[in-house]
Amino acid sequence: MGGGGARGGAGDAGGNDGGGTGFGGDGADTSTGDGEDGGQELGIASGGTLTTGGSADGSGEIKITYGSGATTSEEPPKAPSNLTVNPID
Amino acid sequence: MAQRGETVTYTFSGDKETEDISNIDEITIDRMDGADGGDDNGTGGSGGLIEGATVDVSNYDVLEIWVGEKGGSGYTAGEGGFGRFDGGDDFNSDVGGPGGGGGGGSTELVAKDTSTGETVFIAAADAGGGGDDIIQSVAPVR
Repeated sequence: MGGGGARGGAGDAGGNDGGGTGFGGDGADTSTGDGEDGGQELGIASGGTLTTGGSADGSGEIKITYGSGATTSEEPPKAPSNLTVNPID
Repeated sequence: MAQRGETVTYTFSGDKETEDISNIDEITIDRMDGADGGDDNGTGGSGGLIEGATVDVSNYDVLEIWVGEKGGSGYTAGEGGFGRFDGGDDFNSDVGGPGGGGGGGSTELVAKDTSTGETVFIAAADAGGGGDDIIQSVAPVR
């Protein structure tokens, strides 16, 4: 009779004789005892490793690095300051 | 405003957070933990986990960060946790007492282009479901 975990829609409330369903893990009912683990979903993100067992302290957590693999440069290229021209015969 | 090369860890705060990413081309999700379901006699499920995914965000200028909350304990109210989408309540969350743990709230990243209003879903670590309040049977002593 536990509540369902959420993603993509609120988890349903648990019923008297069954766990609530969620797009994450479902809540437990009397035949299982423990709630189900949540999954993972990628939208425009790609790659990486998808598993379960997240959250060390119970609530969620997100660690992000910004700008990795950036394709633009902060400084424009510098013009050469010393050119030597060798005429071709 | 988010800075290139900067690594930031976001924890549960009770509300969504936003970052200006107008100067950012790409982000790496180093780690994304979903929230656990609330415990009762049964254990709440663990959240999902994403590590090392990358995202091209060059077409967006705002990042929404939703960190989900663990579902409430079935020993108290058993309410569903906060998230972009909240977890489900247990059977008896309105009065407390028996009924199981609440489901965790969803942990998600969303990008927006404020000039067009376009919103795209980046990724989610789903929350675990709440544990049940099963009562362990005890054999009578004769």
